Amino acid sequence: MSKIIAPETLDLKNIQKTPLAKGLLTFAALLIGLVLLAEIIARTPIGYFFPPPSTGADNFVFDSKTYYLEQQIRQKGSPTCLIVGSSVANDGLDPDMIEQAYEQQTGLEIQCFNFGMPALTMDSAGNMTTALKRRYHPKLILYVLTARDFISRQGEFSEQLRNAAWIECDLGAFSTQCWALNNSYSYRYSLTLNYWLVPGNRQKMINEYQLVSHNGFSPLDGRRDDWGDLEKIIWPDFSMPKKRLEEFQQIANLNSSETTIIFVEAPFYPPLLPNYLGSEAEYEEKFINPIQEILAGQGIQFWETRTLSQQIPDPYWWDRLHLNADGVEIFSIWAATQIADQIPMDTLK
Amino acid sequence: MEIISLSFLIFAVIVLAVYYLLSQRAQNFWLLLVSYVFYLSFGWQYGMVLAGATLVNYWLAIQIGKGKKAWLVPGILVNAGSFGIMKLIAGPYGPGLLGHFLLNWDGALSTRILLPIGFSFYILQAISYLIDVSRRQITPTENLVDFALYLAYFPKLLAGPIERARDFLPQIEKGRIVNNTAAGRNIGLIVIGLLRKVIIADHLNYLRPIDIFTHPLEYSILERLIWLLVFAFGLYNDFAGYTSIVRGLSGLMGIELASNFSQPFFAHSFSDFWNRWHTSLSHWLRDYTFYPTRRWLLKHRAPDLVTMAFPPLITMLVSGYWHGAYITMLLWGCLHGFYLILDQLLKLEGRTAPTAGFSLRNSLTWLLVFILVTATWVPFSASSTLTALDFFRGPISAHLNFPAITLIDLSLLVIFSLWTDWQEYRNEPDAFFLGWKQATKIWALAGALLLLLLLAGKMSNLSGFVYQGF
Repeated sequence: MSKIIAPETLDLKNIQKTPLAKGLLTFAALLIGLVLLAEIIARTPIGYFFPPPSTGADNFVFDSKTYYLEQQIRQKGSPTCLIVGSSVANDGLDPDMIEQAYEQQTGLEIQCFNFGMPALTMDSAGNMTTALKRRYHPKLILYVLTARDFISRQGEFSEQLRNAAWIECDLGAFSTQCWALNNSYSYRYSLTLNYWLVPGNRQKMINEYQLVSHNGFSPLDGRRDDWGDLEKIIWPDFSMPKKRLEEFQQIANLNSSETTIIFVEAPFYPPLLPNYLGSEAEYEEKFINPIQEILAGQGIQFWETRTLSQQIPDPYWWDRLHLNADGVEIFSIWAATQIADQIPMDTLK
Repeated sequence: MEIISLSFLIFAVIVLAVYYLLSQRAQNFWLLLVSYVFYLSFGWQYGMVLAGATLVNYWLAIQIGKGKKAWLVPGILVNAGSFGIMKLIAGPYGPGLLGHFLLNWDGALSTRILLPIGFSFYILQAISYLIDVSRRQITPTENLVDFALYLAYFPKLLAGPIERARDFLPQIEKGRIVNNTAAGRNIGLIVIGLLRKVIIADHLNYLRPIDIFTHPLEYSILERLIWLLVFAFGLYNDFAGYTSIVRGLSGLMGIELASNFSQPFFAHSFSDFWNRWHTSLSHWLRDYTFYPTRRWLLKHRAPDLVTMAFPPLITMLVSGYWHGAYITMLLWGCLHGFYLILDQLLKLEGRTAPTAGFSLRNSLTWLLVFILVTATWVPFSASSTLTALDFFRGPISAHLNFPAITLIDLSLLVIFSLWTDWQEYRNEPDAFFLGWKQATKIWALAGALLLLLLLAGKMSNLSGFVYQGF
């Protein structure tokens, strides 16, 4: 060794005096400081002032909701109810309104969170809902269901979710990344930074981040300009492929003594009904009946909303499939009433 | 095993740890062994080619050293010929040529794999070794291990620097010392190399549209110019980063490798550029192509214009061919040849290039050199000659189809690159940080490591270096 290493190089008594050793120590100190700072920020309400720590799913609606739900659990405990589904859930049910209406009717306080994900389909909804149940142990999952969940159009988001490590971790896969995702906010902030570093992501990130409120709900205001042609038949060739039915079944199978699963038909603009999936009869035959058949077999409730939709005035619709903030109030209060009427209070305590 | 990878890090740590424990002779055996292990990780066939080239050139050098100079020409022909043919076959015309000469060639096998990785680099070392032996500038080594290590030494095997035997062999024939200063310097070189590669080059290359040199007309003139600049800085930092890393790693073993770059974008003439850009190649070409051609022309009393114009042109055409055996790369070489002729003409007229200091003339000269050199990256990268011409066609438009934030990112990366160059220019070029105060060194190292940790994400192409492709 002495033939190549000059004597002073391995002089351990003095090695700490070298810029190299001091630089490495400073780096370690900076890193520890940064990690601690990130962990403190993420675990306190200060975190709301920063972009949310990412899960690496390349979708900031998902990242924001995950983080806000974790914050809510930190402050109030596990959620009583999780609202899941696509955009019809995301902007259809306001957890605060449900909590208030439910408390008024029963006197019982519940905690709800809206985990609806725009563009979610049955391509990945099963895995996502399973991961949510395993991770956060909600007592009730309200899955807002629409025919679009089954159509063979794979949204970008479904693809992202299918490959998301965050979900895979909860489905049994273990890796160092899983460990870091579950235990280190600093690692998740580093993912946020990496996402932000790609210039194309920045505006998308701001848009998605601003959409989500702290209870996960993303309200829509006013009315969408383009409603499309109401006379036109939408999704005339609708069918429910086996793969998506399996995902649906996966969600239904989550129903247990610990967690009650309820499927809720997403409200839609009533004049659409004659042309929805071809005709009113086809809507029943192709979509409602198979769903009811599967759920009835497992004793799972399916709450239909076509009667409710009739009661929602025209100006309360954002477009033919989505409610605006006024419509949300009606739907949310109705949902709270349904929960109070249909679900024993004991199961939500 | 890519150089920027966890497996290479583990490999390098093991190599260094064992290396430090061994005696000098055993160190060379060890380095040769691990160099072949490293090389074989890219493909066993490559190892066979390298071993074959080693044995042939070792024997040839011994013969030439014994005074049998007749072996020089066959030696050069074997090396240069095999290189020329392999390069041609591995290029875009390869499948067509093989289809023409080999009737049963169906083109299913990629011709790219026929050119062993690093071949372009070590074959030049072999040629220069034979020539230097014949010129009696060095005595051929009788130690096969040392010679094999000269060609196969793993830090420089993939993409240089192209070492000269007279610099490399004496270093491995004696004991090596790595003291605290050398260790600090070499780790600093590795960190700077990583910053150049992972932070600057990879981010610039990530931001640049992949089709800018294949479909240039889809971009406005202003966009093309911006992406051309981005390409220039990306390429430079990629290669300079690689060189810095391998020089640092080699320095930790007490073996100095040639410096390849010396702030090329600060060049004030075209010949100055080639004294700053990929110097291990350009100096090789100068010594083994330019000077011999010029001497031959002078000896045969060629006309002055030919003596002045032909050597730089042929040298840069060889350089073009070395980079790739296809028309656009030859065009790139040709352009640089003309630039060098222009340099010569200006010198003949007594207009010597400025060397130092700020003045309007110096700044304009620097700018002109920079613009003309940057323009040559178009044929260097374009998919065809027509596409290269397309790059400069179209209506002048300042339309930018990317957000302003991207411009900020690009500017920051370019400024970081220029700042690093400026530090090298103003201080010790090899390791500018050595002159810094102790506290600055400490914070700079900590900051650099933090930067690498935070920014080496998905934008980092942690798979390879551009020049590995040559």
